[in-house]
Amino acid sequence: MKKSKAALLWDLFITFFKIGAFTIGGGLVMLPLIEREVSEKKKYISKEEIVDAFAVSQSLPGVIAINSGIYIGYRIAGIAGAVVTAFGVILPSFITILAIAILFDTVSGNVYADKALTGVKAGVAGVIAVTVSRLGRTVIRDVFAFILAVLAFALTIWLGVGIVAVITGGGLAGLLYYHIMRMKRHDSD
Amino acid sequence: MILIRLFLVFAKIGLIGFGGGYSILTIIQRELTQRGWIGLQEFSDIAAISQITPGPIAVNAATYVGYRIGGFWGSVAATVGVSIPSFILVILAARFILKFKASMVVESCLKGIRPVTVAFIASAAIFFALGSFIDLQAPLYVDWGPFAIFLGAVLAAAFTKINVILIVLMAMGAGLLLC
Repeated sequence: MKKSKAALLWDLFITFFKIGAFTIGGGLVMLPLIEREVSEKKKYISKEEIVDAFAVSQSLPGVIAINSGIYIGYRIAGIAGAVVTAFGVILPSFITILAIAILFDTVSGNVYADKALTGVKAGVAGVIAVTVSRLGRTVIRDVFAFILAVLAFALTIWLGVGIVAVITGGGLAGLLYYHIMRMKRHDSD
Repeated sequence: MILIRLFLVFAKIGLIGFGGGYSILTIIQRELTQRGWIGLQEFSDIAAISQITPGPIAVNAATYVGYRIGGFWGSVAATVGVSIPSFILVILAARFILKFKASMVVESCLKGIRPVTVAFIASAAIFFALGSFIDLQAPLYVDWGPFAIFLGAVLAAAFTKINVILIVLMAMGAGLLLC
């Protein structure tokens, strides 16, 4: 079943419009949505590539949601795909904020907004936890990867080490370990 | 002209803004208050609005500030400005990864990067929990309302086919009732 390019782009736009509309409280909220919609349901890209997209989005400057939208759009449908996903992710907040800026002078400190936000945060924490375990099962395949993950978790939680440092460290460790393993295997052949 | 200046300032913010929404908010605050475009009080309003409305925090802030300073086209200039650097950098990075994916060196790096990225995302889940039911000052005290919402979301996401968007909406409704 091959979709026409226009249909694919429209589908990408709608998918990322939905993702943009429900990214409340920061870019990482979109991860579970992307994993379900783009990988699990539509099989546009693999789980490994979603993790790659997030590694890239986090280590580059810019808005994480836009970065990952652009990466995934580009991967699926080239430059046109990147334009369409970026638009899709931006448009819902653009419309909402414009409406708020035009209609109200100030909205902060609303009790109901605080309650709703607390609920959203708790729910999002739960959904992200499930997504992490799913991605983890795909990505962590050996003891070395497991050790790396535990180490990275500890460093970010307790020492507040930044994501760029963690990703650089992971990349170097992976390079050393997997490359040496491969050469060893090569030697013993 | 104000539109071009808005565009340039937000392009700069997009280029130096590492670490996602919350850290970008800090940069926006510095850039705008220094220029006298917006006062501190108004900025804290903007920060609050950006966090509780749907959409990426930095895009929300850019749209709002742009509108306050330059009307509709001001919000277009600021939003496009903050996204342009991402466009160039992410596509370059994606091209690089796709081109060299077959290379053993890049593949080895990626095999190390993937597990640490997942670990980082796990710590983000904890960050969200911190904002709702875990209090580091009193770790033994659990706020039961949000905790129940957390458990409900875990069960729904793990064992049912309920749409993620629906789960987040239900969490929002439950928050109004329980929190």
